[in-house]
Amino acid sequence: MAANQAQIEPMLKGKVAFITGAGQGIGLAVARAYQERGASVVLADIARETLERAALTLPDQKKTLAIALDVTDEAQTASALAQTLARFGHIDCVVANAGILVLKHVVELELAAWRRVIDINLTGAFVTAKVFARQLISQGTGGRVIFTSSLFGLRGGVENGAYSASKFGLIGLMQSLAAELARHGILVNAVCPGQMDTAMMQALFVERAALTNRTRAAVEGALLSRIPVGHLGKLEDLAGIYVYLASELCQYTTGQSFTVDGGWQVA
Amino acid sequence: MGVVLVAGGATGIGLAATRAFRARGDSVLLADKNFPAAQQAAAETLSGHCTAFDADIVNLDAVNASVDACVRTYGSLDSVFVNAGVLRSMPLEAWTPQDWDLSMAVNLRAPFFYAQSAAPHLKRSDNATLIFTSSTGAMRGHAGMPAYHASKAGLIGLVRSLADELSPLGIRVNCICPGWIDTAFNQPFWSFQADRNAAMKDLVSKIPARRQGTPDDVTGAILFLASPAARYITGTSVVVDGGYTAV
Repeated sequence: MAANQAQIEPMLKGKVAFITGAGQGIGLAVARAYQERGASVVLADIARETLERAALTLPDQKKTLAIALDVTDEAQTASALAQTLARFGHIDCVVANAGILVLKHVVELELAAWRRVIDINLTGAFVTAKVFARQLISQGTGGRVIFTSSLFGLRGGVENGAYSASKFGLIGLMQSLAAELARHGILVNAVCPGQMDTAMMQALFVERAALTNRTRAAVEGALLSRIPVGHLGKLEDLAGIYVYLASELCQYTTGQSFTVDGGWQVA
Repeated sequence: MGVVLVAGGATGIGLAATRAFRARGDSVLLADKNFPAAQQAAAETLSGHCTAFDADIVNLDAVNASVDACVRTYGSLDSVFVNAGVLRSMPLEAWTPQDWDLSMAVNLRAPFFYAQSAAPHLKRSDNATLIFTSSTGAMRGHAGMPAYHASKAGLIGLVRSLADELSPLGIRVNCICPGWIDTAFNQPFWSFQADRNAAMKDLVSKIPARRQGTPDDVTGAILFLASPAARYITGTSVVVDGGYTAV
């Protein structure tokens, strides 16, 4: 469905959202979807150039702020919060989305690589949540925290040992935080995206084809045969759940994971 | 806008959902065995049209008749929301085969046959969705309610199977799992407790949100699942429980 600005309801009008890993992919798509619905968005990412280029593509620059940020750094994150408050005055929604993917069999995975995946994907989310949740609590008017987990936060996969451990870990963090923040009216949930059509996925098809001596189409076909709806997810397909979780339509909902995977995990 | 069939829409979550669908302009066929209540609901002044239909979905004829009536009345079908349910609380030795069969027929069999009956029509929609009301009772269990828990857990499996079969045809299949929602539906449970007030206090203390939910807490999830914003969501359960099952 093409996004026609005139038809999109401003259901997030007046809201301020902070999104990590927003320089591309899911984070950027969520920032765009939020802004299209009236929110001011703060985009955080470690890759400054990519981030700034991405931020400039958003339609309303008055409602956009880009901050280069290493999510594992608590001081930098505190500074990012201060910059957010200086620019927009308050925060309503935090999307801890930053993450990296390392595909390697456990028995071949270097310890340093394992630590990097856990550090960025899990510890980084913890730091973001801690710093921003404290602000939400002090504001006293509720709020929303959303973690990007994964299909692989619900089940494992070959070469996904580190990634899956970090994404499962996010579920435990999310549920515990939900239990702690409920009395402040802050809802905490996670999104588990399935197999999405991204540059990374396309590159993986090519890489796998070479490794397994198959055509790219054969590799893609094998994956698609496992998805009941028959196609990869588009980033715009994910926007819906992140918008829902940030909006007033979502009530009494906390500590839960929302799977957006075209049916991948049913069979 | 869309055409929605709500089975069990005269009270509670079903009624709240019917109102919410209508408020956004959808037409609703409201099927319920409490026909006077269904007529009363249908007569409410809201944007979308509503037709009351007398149906006790323990009977498969009623399931088929309600689908036919919906398509005859509104010309098409986009969403089927099967919300009707039975909750019986009795000690183990009191359960008869008839008691068990009734719970299964309403809670688990009817949703399946709604899928069968509605699929040919839903295939023609570009925003087709089946939504069943399961429960956090699919993940937790309480003494005295074996048929309820078994049937609600069964819906999780049913949704996966139907999603695998129908999603290639463009029909999304999901369920909602409401937690403790404060409606008359839960009366049998509370009456079964030795000390009703103590039981309620104890339960609420276990819910992070420290309250039971209301039907309106659940409607957002239902409308979201029935909208194009949920177009890549199928085979899942959406839990609305104030954090009850997160801890």
